[in-house]
Amino acid sequence: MTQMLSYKVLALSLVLIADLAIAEEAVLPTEEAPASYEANYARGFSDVFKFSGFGTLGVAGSDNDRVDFISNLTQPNGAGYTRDWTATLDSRVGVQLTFLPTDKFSAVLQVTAEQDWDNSWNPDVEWAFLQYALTPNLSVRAGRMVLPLYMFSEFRKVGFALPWVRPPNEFYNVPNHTVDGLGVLYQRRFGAVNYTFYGTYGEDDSRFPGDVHSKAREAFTLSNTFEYKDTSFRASYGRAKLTLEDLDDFFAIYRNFGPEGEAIYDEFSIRDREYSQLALGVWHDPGKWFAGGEWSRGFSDSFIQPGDSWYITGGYRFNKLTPYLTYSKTRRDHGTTPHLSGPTLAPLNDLLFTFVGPIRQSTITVGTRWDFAENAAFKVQLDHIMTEENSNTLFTNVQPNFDEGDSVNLLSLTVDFVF
Amino acid sequence: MKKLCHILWLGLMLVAATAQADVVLVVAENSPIESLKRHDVEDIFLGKAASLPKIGKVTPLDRNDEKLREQFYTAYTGKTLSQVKAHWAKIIFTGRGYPPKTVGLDELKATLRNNPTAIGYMSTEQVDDDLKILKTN
Repeated sequence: MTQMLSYKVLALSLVLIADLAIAEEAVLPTEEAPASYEANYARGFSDVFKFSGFGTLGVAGSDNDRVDFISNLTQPNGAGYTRDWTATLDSRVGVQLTFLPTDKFSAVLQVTAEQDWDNSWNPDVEWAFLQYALTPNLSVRAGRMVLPLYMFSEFRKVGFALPWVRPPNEFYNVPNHTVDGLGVLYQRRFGAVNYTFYGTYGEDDSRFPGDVHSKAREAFTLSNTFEYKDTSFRASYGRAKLTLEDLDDFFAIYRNFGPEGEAIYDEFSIRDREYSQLALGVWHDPGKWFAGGEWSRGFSDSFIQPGDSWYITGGYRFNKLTPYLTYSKTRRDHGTTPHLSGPTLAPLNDLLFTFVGPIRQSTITVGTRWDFAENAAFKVQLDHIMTEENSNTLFTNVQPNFDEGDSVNLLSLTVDFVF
Repeated sequence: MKKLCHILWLGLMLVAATAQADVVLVVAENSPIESLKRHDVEDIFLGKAASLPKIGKVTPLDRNDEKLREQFYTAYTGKTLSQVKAHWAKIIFTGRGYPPKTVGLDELKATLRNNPTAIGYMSTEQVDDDLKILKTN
């Protein structure tokens, strides 16, 4: 039912876009001037091929050796338990080749290298798509695209474009970040409001520590951005059918324990189960300062905890220094969940809790960005991460002596650059 | 004495005015563009839009004179050059475009004369008779 509804929303959006595109062509007959210019304007090599890159060199240290802080779910280890200090959290490099043979056609390939699920630094394809502009306002894409889940999702790895060292962890820790499929991009100004629609549809296969495979199928995202003067509003919706076979096999073990076990498997299975989310964001940046925040609500048919996450942030620009302050929080919970009764089965319930128990965590972040060069910025950031009783966290390699309710302090120093 | 003060004051004002020569948006004399809204300038020079309503596709041109560039972006977008750079990092690395081509004054003037949809900026005293200063509001 919800699926049908979702398709209808997608279809409706596409029809709306097509209508707008046609309406626009009708009132805009003045395409001749640029066309004639195009004809006697030879594109040079540097107009057709563009090469760019970005990167971050960073170290981060944690004061708690009982858990590893990670900045991305694909990282097998981080700062804290494995090492006090690590360069693997934020360090990365990305290169991009853009091919622009005509005004209407473009191809983008972006490859990034950073600590991967298997501890290697093998390069990954982040973006690889062909784009065609049907009108100056409407473009279609095919290939690999980063999902426009949240305000900073598409460039979350480009430290230079972020006010912070990394996007707020409680909000941006999503398993699947890219999709192989189709995209539609539409931009138009309606008076004082600049509107952008971006929709993607496709599938994804990602790998996580322990060689866990995550499959997202029939995944779509619809994102809408409205910019009015110095303020932008964003609303997006995403949905996918997820399969994590290794985890599903684990939950299937509980089926050996009678009807209670069957109920557990039925509730937490992650084979072709739907996950959807709604996200809203607002950002205000008049130049001297900025403030903004995002909120999201997830809906889940699997072991993945549904619930809300949000953050609020702000900063002030003193010439080249931009200190900032952020508070972020996540509360994801299944509510009452099935469990096995009988005292001898308690360890199985405890194990289950580590996968399906509530996730509650919040962070206060203070830091500053220093734009010491036109192409590079230095950042120093302190995160005070708070956990709660009877809750799971977003840390990894959690040791038995970590007490729920403990806090972790993380100091990060980075240099972000673009070229 | 009072008169002398007055003249001195006027003189100072004049010096201040020349030192702070305004940056203006310039197109070819035969360009269909007459005036631009402030948000159109932002859309075009910050890569938020490739075309203008009723005009169509336009080609912005940036300047290699850093001081002038800074003056332009501060006045027309309220952003410093590092903010502009960070903004473009966002656009480039999400595959949505590339910043305007950077040119010198002579190349800018030559391009504007050849291409009625090109838009550039220069300080007021650099504007020739066959170029049109755009009104912005």
